[in-house]
Amino acid sequence: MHEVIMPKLGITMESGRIEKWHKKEGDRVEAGEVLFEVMTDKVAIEVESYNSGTLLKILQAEGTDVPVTEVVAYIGSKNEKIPRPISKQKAGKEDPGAEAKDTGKPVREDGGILKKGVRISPLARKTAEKMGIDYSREEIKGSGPGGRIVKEDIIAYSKIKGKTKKEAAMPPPAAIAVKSSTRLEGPRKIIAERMAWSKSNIPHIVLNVKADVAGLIDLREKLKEKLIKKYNIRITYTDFILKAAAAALRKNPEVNSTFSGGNYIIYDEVNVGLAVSLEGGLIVPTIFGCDRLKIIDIARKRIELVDKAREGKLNLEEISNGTFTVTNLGMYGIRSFSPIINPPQAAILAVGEIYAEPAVVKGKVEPGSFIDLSVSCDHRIIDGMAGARFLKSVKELIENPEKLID
Amino acid sequence: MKKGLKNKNIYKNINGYEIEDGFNRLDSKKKLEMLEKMYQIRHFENETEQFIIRGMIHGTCHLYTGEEATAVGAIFALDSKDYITSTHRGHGHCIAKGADLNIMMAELLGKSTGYCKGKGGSMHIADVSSGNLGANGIVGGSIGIATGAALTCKMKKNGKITVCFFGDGAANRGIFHSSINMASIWDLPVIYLCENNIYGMSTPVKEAFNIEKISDRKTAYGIDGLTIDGNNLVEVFNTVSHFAQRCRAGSGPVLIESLTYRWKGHSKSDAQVYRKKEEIKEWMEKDPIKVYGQILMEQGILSEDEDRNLERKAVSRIKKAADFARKSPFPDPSEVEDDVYA
Amino acid sequence: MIRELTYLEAIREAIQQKMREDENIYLIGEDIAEYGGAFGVTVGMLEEFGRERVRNTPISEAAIIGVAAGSAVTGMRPIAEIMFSDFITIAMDQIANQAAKIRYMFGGKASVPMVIRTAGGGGTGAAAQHSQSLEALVSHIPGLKVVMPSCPYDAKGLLISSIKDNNPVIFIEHKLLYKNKKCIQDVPHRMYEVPLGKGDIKREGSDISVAATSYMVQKSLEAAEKLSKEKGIECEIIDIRTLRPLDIDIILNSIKKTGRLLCVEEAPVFGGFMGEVSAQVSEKGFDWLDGPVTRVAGKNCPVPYSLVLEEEMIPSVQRIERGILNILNKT
Repeated sequence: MHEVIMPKLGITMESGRIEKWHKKEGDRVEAGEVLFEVMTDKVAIEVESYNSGTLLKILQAEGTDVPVTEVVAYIGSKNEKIPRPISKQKAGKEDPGAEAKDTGKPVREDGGILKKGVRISPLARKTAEKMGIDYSREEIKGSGPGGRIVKEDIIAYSKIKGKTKKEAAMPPPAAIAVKSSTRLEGPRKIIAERMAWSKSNIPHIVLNVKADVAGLIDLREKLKEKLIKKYNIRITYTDFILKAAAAALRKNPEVNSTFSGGNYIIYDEVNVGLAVSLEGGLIVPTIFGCDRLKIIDIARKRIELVDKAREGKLNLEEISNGTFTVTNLGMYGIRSFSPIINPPQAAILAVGEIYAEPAVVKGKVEPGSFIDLSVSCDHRIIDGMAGARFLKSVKELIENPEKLID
Repeated sequence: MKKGLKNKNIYKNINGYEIEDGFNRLDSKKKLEMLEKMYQIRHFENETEQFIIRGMIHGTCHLYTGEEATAVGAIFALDSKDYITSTHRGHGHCIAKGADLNIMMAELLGKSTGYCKGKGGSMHIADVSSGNLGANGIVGGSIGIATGAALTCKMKKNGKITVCFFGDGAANRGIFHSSINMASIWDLPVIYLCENNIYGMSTPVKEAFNIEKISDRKTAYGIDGLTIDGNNLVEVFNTVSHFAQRCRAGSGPVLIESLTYRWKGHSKSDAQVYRKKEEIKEWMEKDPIKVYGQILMEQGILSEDEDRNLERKAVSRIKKAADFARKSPFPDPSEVEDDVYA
Repeated sequence: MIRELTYLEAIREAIQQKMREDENIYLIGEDIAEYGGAFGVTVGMLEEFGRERVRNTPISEAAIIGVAAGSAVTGMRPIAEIMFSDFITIAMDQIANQAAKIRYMFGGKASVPMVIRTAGGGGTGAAAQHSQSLEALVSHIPGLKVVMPSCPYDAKGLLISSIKDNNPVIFIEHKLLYKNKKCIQDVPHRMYEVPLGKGDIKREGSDISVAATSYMVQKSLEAAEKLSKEKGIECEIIDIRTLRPLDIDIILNSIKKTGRLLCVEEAPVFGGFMGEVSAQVSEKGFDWLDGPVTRVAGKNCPVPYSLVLEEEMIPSVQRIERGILNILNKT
């Protein structure tokens, strides 16, 4: 019994396609006769039989791609039994390829000392200078060859010192079934970046206060129908809050500000943005000169902007140049939350739902209605006292809402 | 085989040269040795081919199958201390020069027990201590080397000669021209033996030459030259023997063109589109081993049984070599940069 | 006893002394017999050693090297001469594929003890095909050794070492050094060796290291003298001497002192030998470098004919000075 194998016909050949069998099973074959043709990438090569006998079995048909050295047929005497197919190892080199070895001589370990006394790569040096790190004076550990300081060491050092922040990439655990995976693009991406930046770069201080809205509820009830009839505008609590916030900002200008380029800038206008939730993300249209607007105008503007927002028709101007933001999750049943400042602003007011709680009025316990107000402030420029003053102003106006209408 | 026309024992007149009959001065032992050697070459090449198609030879080989008479006839006509240089199709020369078959096979498989510690491979097998100055991967690459070896022999007056094997393709390389010219002007003891097997890689000789016989180029260098039947071991033996004597005596170089044929493609990936099957068949029918065997049988020193025995012996010897090679270890990778410099 | 020899005379003396000592040494090349060699190096050799050992050849560079290699494998120690280094290209197969590789391909069981002497370099108006510096080609090939002496003393000692070495050595001489009067030195009469694989500090200094080969060593020394006198800049000039195997340590030790390295060679800068020096210094001496390794080398073109262009192509003393000043950021 002789095996007929797919021969290795070229130095780089890994498999060959059987073009044609010149003999069929049962035929007599003489050594030297052409048995089959193999197509290599250059040309069809005739493969002769090395043995004489009967072609007992063809294992690979014409048109099949066969790896080099695999058995394609058996030649033997007429009634010989063909062996059962054995799983053959991949094409025949005996030696595993030797790994490419690094034949370079090792870098010198007896590190020379530079004139400054510190072994540091030019790139690390540049990085340090950019980050304002004096590598010659500070104790930076070098992880490069021979203890050389390399770029990574500077970056690591700066993290410890808190001088820079690097975006931590935390891959999700692989073992959890995924429902969907969407690459963040467009507005969603920008929101993500801004929120991350805001939270990492602005120290937030959050102040909370509870405001009694019994009076506000009454006032709104009184005005609601009148305004609908007169202006066809449905006034909401949000409008009152916008007005209260704007007035409070006018009264406490230090909160109507920004920290930019090392400068603490207090604005002269009060432009209050209202956070609007859409499917595609959060958008904050601005009500310009909010403190000077009558509450009905605020309401009108609010409706206009929210409609535009929902239709995707807000222009760039309408979503720019806000000096403060109001965000309301009351309609979702949220009582209070700590909002993230909308950069480059310095503060943001979060409002929740109106809820019932017992109130103490003149020494007696009565059913009361309250609302929670939270203001997050940039603690670099707005300290607790300033923030509290502002929030107190807002609360006072909410609790005495007649001051808001004129 | 003719008897001498004069008192001198002449084998034949070839191209005007009265070639002496050295063959019949040999004893039967020697004659049979040559036949066995041819079988060894034939089966060594067969075994090599099996290794190639199994991908166990990293690279390829250029098989000498069909040309055995030239290598054996020429080399057996020399003294054991004479030099040879070989070609990329050099297994035949190396074996005829007495190479250890185990060590040769091991070299083909890239093992550390090979002639070149695995660093040379098929095209660079050499055994300098026994006068084999190496196979050569560059066509004509050893012509200069052989001429240099001949210069050494002349300067040292050590009575050795050099046989330089090369193919029809090499005859068109510049080094062929400048080396033979130099050997001629200095009367160097070198036999330039051109194995004309009709094809370079795929280019037939009639497309590469505008002359009938390559040996006619002797005129360009002012040396002796002739064309012989390379498939007749006796003819090869007698011719080389004839000129070896003269070379040794200082008559200068000679250009011998040995007409032969390779049965296999240039290398294993050769589809042989450049020659017809009928041509190959025709030459295979003039199998030099059978031709020589026939001569020995006619001389009464070989029977059919003995012939088969010799072949079997050769096959068995080759199998041993293949075994040795398979079992030998590969070189240690850390040795890769060793032996670059002396 | 002071005995001043020119570069050419020193080379001749090395050959003569070795040939008297070892009869396996012979010369092979074009016009080396009666003519005494194109540059006159072998004048007198034919008379002393005869035609057997001073072998004049036809114009056959390939055969010259092939024959030399074949004879070296079989016991001789030839010194082959290639008239102009540009012509090594004609013998490239014999040099790169035969002589360089025989030892390795044969598993260390043969050696090729031969020297190929050749004259390289430009500045003689010989133009593109007779002025090249091709050391990068040959130093690249494992198995070859490459030597470039810059002065008579080194030339004799390095040639003696090269002849003694059992490997193929390419000994590249410079045409403008052969009879250079500025470059005459006291050369001892005895046979002495300057070891291969070792560079030499030709001038000490602490401001900048300048590594150079062959004639550029002389030009660098000139530039160094000028800068020392005129600007108080002290250059350390390193003569590389053996390109392969390269003595990288001498260069590294120098830059530990100076922190700066200028490499000077005559060959066109792209792909030149100094690229190898640069790479090795960058890998092994990075921490001591105050700035990148720079090169002053030939312009990227064949050597032109017209004098004004040739002088532009080949590094001049001024160009070397400028290179030094640039690294030091001075004018």
